[in-house]
Amino acid sequence: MSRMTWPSGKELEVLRLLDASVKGMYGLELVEKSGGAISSASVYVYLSRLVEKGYVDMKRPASSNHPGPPRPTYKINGEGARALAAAELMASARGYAHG
Amino acid sequence: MGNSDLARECPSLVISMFEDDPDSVEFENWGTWSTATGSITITGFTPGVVQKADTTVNGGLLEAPRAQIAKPPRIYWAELARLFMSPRKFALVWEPQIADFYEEYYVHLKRGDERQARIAVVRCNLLAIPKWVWMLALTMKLHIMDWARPLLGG
Repeated sequence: MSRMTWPSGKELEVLRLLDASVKGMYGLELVEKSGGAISSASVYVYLSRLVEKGYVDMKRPASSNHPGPPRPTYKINGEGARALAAAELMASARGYAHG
Repeated sequence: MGNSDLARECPSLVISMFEDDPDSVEFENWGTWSTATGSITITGFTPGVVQKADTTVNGGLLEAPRAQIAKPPRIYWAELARLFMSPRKFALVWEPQIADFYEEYYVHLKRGDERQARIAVVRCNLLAIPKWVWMLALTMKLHIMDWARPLLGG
């Protein structure tokens, strides 16, 4: 892990979606599941940031069934799950404080 | 192309042809052939690899063009980005995007929907352009319009 910084709002949204998936997701799959909240132009930027921050693991298959690079799968790891739980706790505490 | 050549090119095709003799057979993944019309259509020898090849049986000899291997389409911005980005950043941001769109491209190609496959490539090329490049282009356009207004008498 290169640096440990808090995930941004959109990154938390990505973490939330990844947390709901057991076997991980592809970039375009995330866009579909987000229902328009994450665009296909920016999803890879968020995913790359989350990988660099150490919240998400990127798994690249050794080969693909077509020419070109194989598409990677993204899966939330322990740090990501902890960060997501902390963010949700903070959000609920903030909601409680504001009534 | 003779049968021996064909056997070398597509062994499973020859085996399927001479073991069975139905009027029409649909192969699981990659195509159809009919002894009634004598035509064979290959729509994907391995998933997404063969674009399309039509073969005709003439007097017992099979004439088949070489299988057309569908090359991955070029993503022009990716080639440019590779020059300016660090290999790590490129592998994290661009490669997954290209891989996802290639997957989409080959899925459409396998279905025989070339139009959708082309749309996937165009989308990939457009989405690969960073937002700041779009903003730069828009700002430039506004500046040029502002500069040209007196010349146009506006």
